Order: sequence, then structure tokens, then C-alpha cells
Amino acid sequence: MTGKQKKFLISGLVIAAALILIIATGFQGNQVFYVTVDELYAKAPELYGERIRMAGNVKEGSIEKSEDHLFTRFKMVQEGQDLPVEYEGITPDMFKDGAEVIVEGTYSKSGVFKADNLMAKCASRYEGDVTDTEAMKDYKEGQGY
Amino acid sequence: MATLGNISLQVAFFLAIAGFFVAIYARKQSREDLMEAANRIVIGIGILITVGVIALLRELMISNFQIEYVAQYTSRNTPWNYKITALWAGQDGSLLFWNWILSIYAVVAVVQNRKRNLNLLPYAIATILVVQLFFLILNNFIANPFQPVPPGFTIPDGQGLNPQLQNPGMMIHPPMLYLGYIGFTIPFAFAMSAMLTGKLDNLWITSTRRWTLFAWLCLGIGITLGGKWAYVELGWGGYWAWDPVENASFMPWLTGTAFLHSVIIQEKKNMLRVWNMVLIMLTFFLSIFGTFLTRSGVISSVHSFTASAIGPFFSGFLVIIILASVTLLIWRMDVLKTRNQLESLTSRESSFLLNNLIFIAICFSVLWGTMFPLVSEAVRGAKITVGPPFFNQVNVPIGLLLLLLTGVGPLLAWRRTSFESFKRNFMIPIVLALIAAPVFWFAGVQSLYPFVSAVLIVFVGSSIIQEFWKGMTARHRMTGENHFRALVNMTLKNKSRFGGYIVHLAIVFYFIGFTGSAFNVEVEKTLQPGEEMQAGMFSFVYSNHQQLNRPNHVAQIVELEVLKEGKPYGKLYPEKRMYFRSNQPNTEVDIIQTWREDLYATLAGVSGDNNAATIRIFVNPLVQWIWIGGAILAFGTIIAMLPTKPRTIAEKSK
Repeated sequence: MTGKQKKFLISGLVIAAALILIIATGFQGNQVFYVTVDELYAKAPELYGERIRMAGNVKEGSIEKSEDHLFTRFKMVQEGQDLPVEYEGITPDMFKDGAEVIVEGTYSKSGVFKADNLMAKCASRYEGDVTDTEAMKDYKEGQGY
Repeated sequence: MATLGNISLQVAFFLAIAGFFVAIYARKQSREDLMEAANRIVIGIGILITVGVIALLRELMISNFQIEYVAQYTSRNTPWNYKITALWAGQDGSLLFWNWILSIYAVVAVVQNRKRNLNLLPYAIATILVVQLFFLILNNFIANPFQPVPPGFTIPDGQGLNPQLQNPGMMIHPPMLYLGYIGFTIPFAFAMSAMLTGKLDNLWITSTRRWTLFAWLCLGIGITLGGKWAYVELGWGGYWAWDPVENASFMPWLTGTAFLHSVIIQEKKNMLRVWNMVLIMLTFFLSIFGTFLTRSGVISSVHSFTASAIGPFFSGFLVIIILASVTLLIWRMDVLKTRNQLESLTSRESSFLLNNLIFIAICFSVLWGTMFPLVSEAVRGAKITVGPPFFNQVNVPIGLLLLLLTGVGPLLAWRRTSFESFKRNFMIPIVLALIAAPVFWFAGVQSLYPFVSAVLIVFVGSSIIQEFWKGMTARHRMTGENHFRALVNMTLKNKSRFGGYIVHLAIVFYFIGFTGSAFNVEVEKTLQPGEEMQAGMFSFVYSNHQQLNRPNHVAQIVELEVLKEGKPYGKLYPEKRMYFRSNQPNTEVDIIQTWREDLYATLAGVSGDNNAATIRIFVNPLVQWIWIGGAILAFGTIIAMLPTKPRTIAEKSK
């Protein structure tokens, strides 16, 4: 290998190493644990303070809002398990009883999940997941959806 | 019509199989008559799939709710233009739409190459037919858009299209993305053909240069329009969330950009031939992968797509693509390798290499971040996601490096750059950047990345303008044309070079917009009528409230008087709509857009006897520059795509 080639190889490796380092350090402190309600309760003390993301449905009739609508308390249900959630901020359009939601935030001894990010799974860009008309509902039930 | 559609898709399926063998046999035996037969089969499939699309459109138009797809994505009162968009609103239709675009591309490629590119065309056709066959299998057997509802059911009215999709942007954004994704199939097919035939010179690249540019352009425009749609429609104040679906479209764009650059080195220096093969394979792979991510639901996304039966088929197809590509690559490795080597670190070539490295790094980080939940679940048993903070932390510094390179690369000479030429080319941009630095600093741009970005924008912007200036004045002196004419003619004489520089300028515009986002202000408040809220140097007075009954929804409209430092500035009318049919609330954003900043208002709701309104205001500086950048990007790419007119015999004899 000539000296010139070595020079290229080394500078290439240095740059590649730097890029990999940037990517690797990006993972530190930016990890969010995706857990189910079951798992959350099972591993609770370990997960205190960690950033957690959870998915579930809004329990019917559980939504309470503050006077100025900027603070929301609700229960998220997942496979029969309830989890009380508190969220500060404006809730998205799709957020209502029964909606599928994803919350991100932290869990603590108080037993309440403090969410700082609340996403209501919207009907996708593509799949028309909007509320079925009665006819479609009957049809889908017939199909075993 | 459904029967007709079904039959044509079935015939197309058998034709694709036949065409594949005909094309291969024709090339093996060098039978021109059979090559022509393969060409005609491609055209035939194009016609058949077009019939399929027309049939589905017709069913959508007449609201034939006996077809499941029609009932799911339209209703009687869906406007006709959104009945058309329903063609690609759902999975089954969008797969047909995908294949339809590919079939049109294939016909154009055949017509373009049937006379002049007999060597590469047959295997390229065979490759394209494999892709078409894949989608025909899906459409015929797994995701049939003509699936009728079972007998005995009558559906009086369909579900209608999701109101969020009823936006003009959504009529253009998905087709644009598709045009981009699918366009990479053509260069990929010619690359495969080059490998199979052993004709590994630059022919496959030069024959598909404009295809690549076109695909790249559509993808770029599609991504930008997607951002714009999210921005004006979704009401969270941003245009990019590093959502898996967004990432899926971003990745092939990244590798495609790397490919566009590195083929230049192959054309000029006959280097990087293996690498270019890898890049086009990767780009095609990521295009299919992107379609897959959007359609399968492997990675959960806010745009919840239903998990569906097509997942395993896509996975299988992706594996086939990898296996075929890697096998061919290993088989042809010896022929592909070149002995040419780099001469200097400070050369155009090395800057291209670095650029490639960076694009791949960004792509890798995006892929890694997107797939991380799957990987971590498999490896550690815990599902761990990384969100926007990860993508931003990683990609902001890498992106800034890339911006720097956008300015430096074009100023470096091929082979090596002498100190003299370095001084000559870099003096003005560096001086301007040094002047700008303290100005930005004292204007308050004092955090690291925005500051670096602002200085780099000046450096890169001025280096591009300098290139145009130099060329223009030189031509003006030589030809005596006036400056404007000289500028136009110079650009038209070197379309790919100056078209490329215009695209670089567009990238600078994008970065101006990205940098602005570091200074976004967001305020949420509940106001009683007459009260006001403050955001940045603006205040917003809740001056009026109105409830309007419109044909398909009822709207709460709030009037906000905007004051800039106490002086009247404008009015905003954010709305909250409740659609009757879906019983779904929908936020209508209102924006005052200027080149300085966007004032972006959303209404979360109106409540109580006195109509207290919960309002969210964003002050987003410099967002406009991104959309303008998109237009410049399109303009520059189109310049680079304009045909370089070959001198015809008639002209020569004149």
C-alpha cells in the first residue's frame, strides 16, 4: 500500500468513526421504553423516572379536563388494566372516549403517568380509519373484523 | 367494470410471466424479433393495467358500494376530485396505482430505448417485469381492489374519505412520492441488465441519467409537499416529525442523492463503479422498503396503518432483491473494479466521496432509528424507541457538515486543488462568512448549531452566487452579450453543472428554514373574549367568535387580532370543525405567512357560556424559505434534465 493510499484510508476511517460516534451517542439519553400496562406494573420501581411510551385506549367516560382545557386527566385501558394518566397541554382532535392513544412521559410512585406527549392514533393518511357508518359496521361484524 | 378490471389484471399477470421469459430468451439468442415481442408485451401490460385503473376509477365515480374498496374510501357526498384520490387512499388501490405508474414508466423506457439500446433493454425489461409481476400477484391474489362485498349485503352509503385527506395537497403529495419511488426502478433495471450482460461501462448510467433525476425530483417534491401538508393541515405547528412513514421516503432520497453525485465521478474518472451499483441497488431496495413500511404496519406510527396480509410478501420480495443484487455484484466484482485512484485529499473527487459517506451515514442513522424498536425487541427483549430528539441530535451536526460540503465541493478542482486556486475561489465566501459571524452573534444567534448554520449559509450561498457571477462576467466579456443573456446562455450551455448549483442554492434555502426552527415560539392559553396573549413580539387579542353551519360540518371560528409591538398587523381565523358524518373534530389552522416568520394559530376548542377559547399560537421564523427552496429545487433539477441537443447531421451539413 502506498503512502497516499494510507493517507486516504486513515482519513476515511477517521471520518467514518466520527460519524458512527455521533450516531452512537445519539442513542444515549434518547431512548424511550415501549411497555404495556402489565409490564409497567411488573417492573414499576425500575422504570421510575425513565422515559416511557405506552399505547392503549381511552377509558369511556374517564376524561376530565380543567377549566381552561389545558390540563387533562384520563384513564388508559390496555387488556383490561387501567392506568391513570395526566397530561398538560392541548389534546389532539382524535382524543376522545375509546380512542387509541400513545402517551409518552414518566411514571412515578404516585401511580399516575405524567405524559408530556399525547398522540391520538389518527386514522392514517391512507387507511380510512374513521368511524364506520352503521352499514359498514354491520358488514364488518359479518366479516368477523 | 369490475369484471373487466379483474380480467385485465389477470391477463397482465400471465403476460408478465410470458414477457419475462421472452425477453431473456430473446437476449440469449440475439433474436431481434423476439426482443420486439417483449417490447410489445410491456406495452400490452401497460394498456391492461391502465384498463384496470380506469375500471376502478369508474366504480369509485359511480359509487358502486358493492365493491368493498369503494365503500371503504368514498361516500355519496365525497366530491369527485377526492373520489379520484381514493384510488390511492387505501392499500389495494394504492398497490394498483403503484404498478400503473411503473407500467407507464416501462412503456416510456421501451419506446425510448427500443431503437438505440438493444443490448441492455431486454434484461432491463425482464427486471421491470419481475417487479410488475410482484405487484400483480398482490393485486390479483392478496389485495384485490375489486373485491365485492359478500352477497346479501347492500351498503347504502360508503364510509367516505378521511377529512384530513380531503386537502388539495393530498391530491399531489402521494402521487409525487410514488413517481419518485417507482422512478428508481428504471435505473435499477438497467443496472441489473448491465451486470447480467457484462456491459459494465457507463452506458447504463448515461441511458438512465434523466430517469434518475426525474425520480429524485419527484421524491424531493413529494417529501416537501408532505411536510407542507402536515404543516397546514395537522395543526401541531411543524412540518417534519421523523415519523416512520416520513423516514421511509427520506431514505431513498438520501441514497439517490449520493448516487447522483457519485455517478459523476464514474463518468469523469471511471472510478466507483462498484459503489454506484451498490447505491442504485440500495435506492431501489429502500423505495420498495418505503412502500412496505407505509403499507404494512411493521413499525407503529401515528399514521396508524392496519397490519395487513401483504407484509410477508413484501419481506420475501425484499429478500429476493437483496439476494439477486448481491449475487450479481459478487459475480461481476472483478470486471467492475477499476484501477484508477484518488490523487489528492483536496480534490473534487474526495469531496464527492465524503459527500457519499455523509449521505450514507444519515441514511443509516435514519434506518437504525426507525427500525430500532424491532431490533431492540429481538435482541434485548424490550421494545425501545428513539424519537425526534435522537434524529435531531444525530442529524443536525451531520447535516451541517453536508451543508459545508455543498459549498466547498464545487469549488475544489478535479484531481487536486492548488493553493492558488484555493485562495482565488474561497477568498470571498470566507471573508463574507467572517463578516456575517459577529453580525449573527450580536443579533442574538448565540447557540452553537444555529450560529454555525447561519454562518455556513452565508458561506455556501455566496460561493454559489460567486460561481454564477464568475461564469456570467466571463461570458459577458467574451461574447459581449448583456449580463442577463450571458447568465442564461451560460446556464444552458452547462445544464447539469449549473442546474446542480441551482439545486445547491435550494438546499441553502431549506437550511435557512431549518435554522429558523431553532427560534420557534409556542404558547397555549385559554382566553375570554377581549383577552390577549403574547408570543414573541406579537400579541393576539381574542376579538370575536362565530359558529357557522356548513353543509357537512359545523365550525367554531375565532377571530384573533394580531398586533406587532402594539401596532395592528393582521387577523387570524383558526377554526374547529365537527364533521357530521364521522362525528370527528378537525382543527383548521390559520397562518399569516411572510418571509420573516409564520404566525400559526390553532383553536383547541370553545367552551362555557362566554365562549372561552383555548388557543395555541406558534411563531415560526423563516418557514417560507423551505417551500421556496422546494420550488428552486424543482427549477434547478429541470434545468439539469433538459436535453443536451446532439448535433444532428442536418445541422452539421449546414
